[in-house]
Parts: sequence; structure tokens; C-alpha cells
Amino acid sequence: MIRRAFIGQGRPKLPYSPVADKGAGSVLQVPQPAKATFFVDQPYKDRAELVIKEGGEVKRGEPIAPFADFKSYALSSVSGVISSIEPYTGARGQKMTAITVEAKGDAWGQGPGSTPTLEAGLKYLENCAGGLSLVRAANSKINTLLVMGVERDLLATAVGQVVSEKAPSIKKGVEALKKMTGAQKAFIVVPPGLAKSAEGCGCEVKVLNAPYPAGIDRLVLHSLFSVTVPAGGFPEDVGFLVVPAESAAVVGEAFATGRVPDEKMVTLIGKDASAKPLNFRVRIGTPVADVLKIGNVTVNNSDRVVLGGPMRGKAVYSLKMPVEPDTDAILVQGADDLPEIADNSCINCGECVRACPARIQVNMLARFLENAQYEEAAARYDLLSCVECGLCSFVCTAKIPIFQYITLGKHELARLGAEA
Amino acid sequence: MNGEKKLVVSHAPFWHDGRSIAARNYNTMLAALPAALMGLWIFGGHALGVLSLCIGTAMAWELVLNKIMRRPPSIGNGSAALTGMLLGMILPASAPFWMVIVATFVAVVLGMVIYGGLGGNPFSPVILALAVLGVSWPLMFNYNYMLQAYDTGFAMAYPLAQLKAFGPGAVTHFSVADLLMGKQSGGIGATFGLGLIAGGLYLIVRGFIRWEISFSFLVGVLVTAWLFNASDSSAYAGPAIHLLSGYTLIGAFFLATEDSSSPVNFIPMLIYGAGAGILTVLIRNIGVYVDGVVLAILLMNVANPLIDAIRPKALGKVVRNA
Ligand code: SF4
Ligand code: SF4
Repeated sequence: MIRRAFIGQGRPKLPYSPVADKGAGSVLQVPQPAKATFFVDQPYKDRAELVIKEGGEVKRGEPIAPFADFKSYALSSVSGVISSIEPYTGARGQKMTAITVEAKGDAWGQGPGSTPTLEAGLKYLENCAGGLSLVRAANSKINTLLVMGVERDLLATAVGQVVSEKAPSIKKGVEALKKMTGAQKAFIVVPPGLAKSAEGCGCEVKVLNAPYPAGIDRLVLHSLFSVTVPAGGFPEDVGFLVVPAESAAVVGEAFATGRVPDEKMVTLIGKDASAKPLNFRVRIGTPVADVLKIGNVTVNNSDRVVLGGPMRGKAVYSLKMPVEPDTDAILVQGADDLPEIADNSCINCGECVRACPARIQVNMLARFLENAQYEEAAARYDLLSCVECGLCSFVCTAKIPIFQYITLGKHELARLGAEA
Repeated sequence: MNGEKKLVVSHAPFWHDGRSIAARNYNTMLAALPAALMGLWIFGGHALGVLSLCIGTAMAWELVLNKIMRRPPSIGNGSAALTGMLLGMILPASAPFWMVIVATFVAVVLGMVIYGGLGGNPFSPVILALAVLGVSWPLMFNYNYMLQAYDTGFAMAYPLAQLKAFGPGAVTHFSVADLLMGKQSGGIGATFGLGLIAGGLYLIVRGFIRWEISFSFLVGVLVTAWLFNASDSSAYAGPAIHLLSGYTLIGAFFLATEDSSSPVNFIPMLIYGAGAGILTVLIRNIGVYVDGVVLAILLMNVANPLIDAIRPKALGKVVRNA
């Protein structure tokens, strides 16, 4: 764990893990799992609504859409038969549907063809490795692609690994996405170590040399492009489509080969903080346990396993939980490493206000959120400006789980909005 | 894998930088220690009695309140101890025990707990207690009177009282070095300027207090005192005496910086600090009180919510015009 230095003025200094052009590290392969699980972002209410069935066949790279409206789907990463379809509640209370596929054979399913169109993208590439989403772009005017070659969280090096080895695919992906969205310009944002690799990506290169959380998309737009995404809005609202570098590579390969790549780069961070984290190539949907096995990481009772990094990841309760399209890292923490949280009230020390990159009055926000006044929190204390970096909780003297209150608050607001 | 492991689940972030309320309070006590020790050295056993009673009763009040309100005991975080210690450092060494008990009651119970505990208090608890005491028993803070029985080996006088009564001519014999070394009369831990400055710098470097408040407070005192002095040096003392006597230093580093009752944004911190500094000298020079620090900080505490409303615009904030 990163402790605060003796000299305590200023913001926390949390550098991203360094990554370098070429040979950022060797990559280990995790074999195809016996079972893969995928989440579809649509609630499972009634069996009668399902258009897929247990026992149904799926192939690699093929969309599995459980409901007739085809609103959302998951991309299968194995070829086999569906063994279960169940309701699933996400970490923030999202109602979803979990689909498990038992692997048999290795056949590829139908892909998007070779002509990049938005329709093909919406049908075959939504939520591909990296977590690309095109739904909002389909309803907005996009002029610029922003390829994110910076890590989403601390300790991870997966994005850097992809940029260093997949520049040609990223380039193809960017060309395809330009055609699909009508964007004229494309930029790639990378850390200083990757400036050379980035040149091969067919975009204008922007180097981001700043510590966490500068690599979060809204902050990148603000600092490098002087574009501000309105609170509660999305980059698409200001004409930007944010494309994770890995997704750009997937799009490039999908239209070049007709198959949607179903593997994901994942950084495994074990309990030993001094050991260098390794990258793994993993089929999406693979249980976390499989990755830990290849990585030789043992997990004991009372440890914590996190999908994602230390600041923004989500802890899982079971090692059967799958690697998701946007899982850049798996972090394992030993029982002695867990920071405590407390039910203190805010002492108004102001550390969170200093740390917040979105200039939110977190001390006041915390007071409203603690009392479940979500609408007030949004209207008066900028709940929706939060870029979800987690720094406020990280520095909180009173150890208040502010970030948790924030995501809860946003979720509740969205729910209230949907009901209204 | 043999069976399912029981994992710990919680929300991000999964790191914390190790700050805690307890560390903040204990470090503040550590920073105050040199000045307190000097006070014990100068004022002896009585001072030790007052200081111990302050810390002890402050903690006792909190414990009693915890029990009454059926909350888990919170004295471990050191906020009651710190409040007691700072209060003790300001009281005269001859303060009677009943006054100490009343003072800690006001500070802990009326100053902190009834507002929902640490963090909810609109006033600095120590300042509130001092204000109540000062209004109720003004003589208790007349250090010349309270400390007349002391033989400390140096000319024992309370500079601000001399100043008020006899004008700047009466304080010319206080050299800066004497004031820094605590050779003056005053609260137990409020006279050793050098110790207070060292403690304050420690807190600033470690990030336990907000430097903007201390800095602007001192600048406010200096500039205002200098202006008065420049306008009429026979009526008003120079900045050094204002800076190094009374509660100026303990106020700047330990009282005005109390978390809950002070602002957290940059500009508001400067306004708050400077305001308290300016008011301090105004009260001393043209008000009725000998020292203005307590009242000045109290007034700025009142204004704090208003001042701290001056804040930067949040990222992406949509300004709606009605
Ligand atoms: S998580 Fe906290 S620090 Fe980060 S943007 Fe949101 S409020 Fe600010
Ligand atoms: S860091 Fe925690 S205790 Fe300090 S002001 Fe922010 S919410 Fe309050």
C-alpha cells in the first residue's frame, strides 16, 4: 500500500506504473476455460422473455443476446453450450443477466464481415475486449476519436502492453472507427514510455506525463483538449468517442479477419508488492481462479480479490467470477493489507477537497450523501461532476468510504430518474 | 482450489494513505508539547496540575457523554485530549480547579458533542470555552493579577495588559528574544514563542494543519499592527509585540486552524485567516479587550460557512440560468 510521505502538503503523488515501447514484459497465456461466464446489462425478470435456452449452442466471437429486443448482448469467448442463464446483481446494484457457457471445441461464429459500418459495430463489437461502447455514439455527432493508451488504474500495465504490441491493429481499428462514426480526427493518449509505439497507431499522439488520476478520460479531455464534458453527460455529448486502445485493436482485427478477438490483456498483481506484475492473455469470461492458477497466486480466507486496480476496481466475493471486457487487472490483497474504513463523521480536514481532480467540495458532498440526500448532493454539491477516481476515500482522515457513497448516490439518482 | 474461499468484499479504493484522526490529533499534541513543557518549567507544579486536570477532565467529559449517548467510546482518537491540552495551555497557571472543569465542560460538551461530535462543531471548542470563561470571569484572564504570586526570575508582566493600560512605552523593555523564549506572562503554554513556531512549522510540513490559515492570520496581525504603529507610534505598539505576545502564535497555529470551524478552500482560507488577524489587532488597539484573538477567531468561525461558499467551479458544472 502506498503510504503518505512524512511531508504531507499537496496532493497525493501516485504515479502510474511505467510501461515502455516493445518488450514491456512477457505475456503468459491462460488456457481456454472449461466454463466461461458473461454478463448482459439487462435485467432477467421472467424466463418467458428469454430467446436463448440452456443447451443452446454458441460459437467464439458470437453475440449472445438473451432477449428479443437485442438491446444488449455479450460476446462469447468459447464455443460450446449454454449451461445456465441467471439473474445477477452487479456490485452497484445493477440488475443483469449472467450466462454461462460450457466450452466444447473451438469453432468461430459469424463475425462482422469486412466492411466497417456502425450497424456492424453495434451488432458485433459492443462491449468487446477493452469495453468499447458505440450505443451513445450512434445517437450523437462524433468528430473526434480519443484512443486511450493510458492505464485506467494504478499498478496495471495491460493497456501499455497492448499499445506496445498492437500498434498496426490499432491503426486499422482507428480507420474503421472513423468510417463507422464519421469522425475526422483521431488522437491517441499515451504515457511518455509509449510515445514511439503510439506513432504507429495512425493517430495524432498526445503524451500524458502526469500522475494518477490524470489518465481518466474526462480529465484527459479537460487537460489536453480543453474540452469539458458537462456534469452528468458523456464525452459523446461534446463530439468525442473514447476508445480504449485494446478495443481499437479488436475493431481493427475484427474487420480484417471477420472474427471478433475474444481475449483480454490482464495484469495480475499478487500480494507481494515488490514482485513485478505480469500480464496475461485471457479469454473474456474466464473465472478469476484460472488466472490466479497460471500466475501462481494463492488466495486464502479473508484476502481480497479485486477486478481492476487499487483505486477504481471492484472486489469480488468468489473466485468463480469472470474476467470482464474492461478488467485490466486482477489485484489480490492479503488480509493484513486491507485498509480499515470507519463510521466516523467528517472532521472537515479538507484533504478530499485538495485531492479531488474535479474540484468538488467533497467534505460537503459527503454530508449530504451520508444522509441519503442524493438530489441535493447533485444539485448543490456536484455529485455528477465526479470522475470516480477514488482519491477522496484514499486520503480521508476520517476513513469515510466517500467513494462508495458517491457511486451509491449516482446509482440511486439514475434509478430515481428512470422511475420519474 | 479446495472449496470456495471466503473473500473480503468492499468498495474501491482498496488503498488508503494511512491518515487518521488519531494521528492528526496526537501529532498536534506533539507539536504543542515544547511550548507546554516550557510553561511547566516556568510556572512549575501548579501549571502541571492545571494542564493535567484539563486533559483528564476533557477526556472524562467525552467518556461520560459517550456512555450517556450509548456511543462507543471515542476518546481514543485524541480529540478530547487535544482540546484539553490546548485549553490548559491558555489558562493561567493559577487557574482554580473548578474553572478548569467548567472550561473543559464547555469545550467538550457544549463545543463539540452537542453538535454531533467532532466535525459538526461550528466553533473551535477551545475558543468557545475561552470566550465563555472570559465573559464570565474576566479577572481569570488578567495574567498580571492571576500570576502576581509567581517568582520566575524575570520581570513578570503580561505585555498586552501593560500595553492596554500604559501604552507602548510600557512594553519597550520586552525584547523579541525574551518574548520568543517565554519571558513574559501569559497562559501556561502560550508564552514560549519559539516553541509555538516550531510546533506550527512541524504541523504545516506534515500537512496536519492548513498553512494558508496560519500564514494569513500572521500576515493579518503584522500588517494591521504595522499600519497602526506607522500612523501613531506613541499610541500603538509595533508588530513584534502583537505577534509574540498574548495568544497570537498559539492562535495562528493551534486555534484558528481547528478543522471543523475553518474553511477548506484556498481563497476562503486566506480571507478567514487574514480576517482573524486583522480583527485581533483591531480589538487589541481600539476594542475593550486586552487580547483579541479569542473573539476574532470566534467571529470568523461564525462567518466561516459564508466565506467557504466561495469555491471553485466543479468540473463540468452546468450553470443553469433561471
Ligand atoms: S472520486 Fe472523489 S476525488 Fe475523485 S472525482 Fe469523485 S469526488 Fe473527486
Ligand atoms: S477527507 Fe474525510 S474527514 Fe477530511 S474533509 Fe474530506 S470527508 Fe471530511
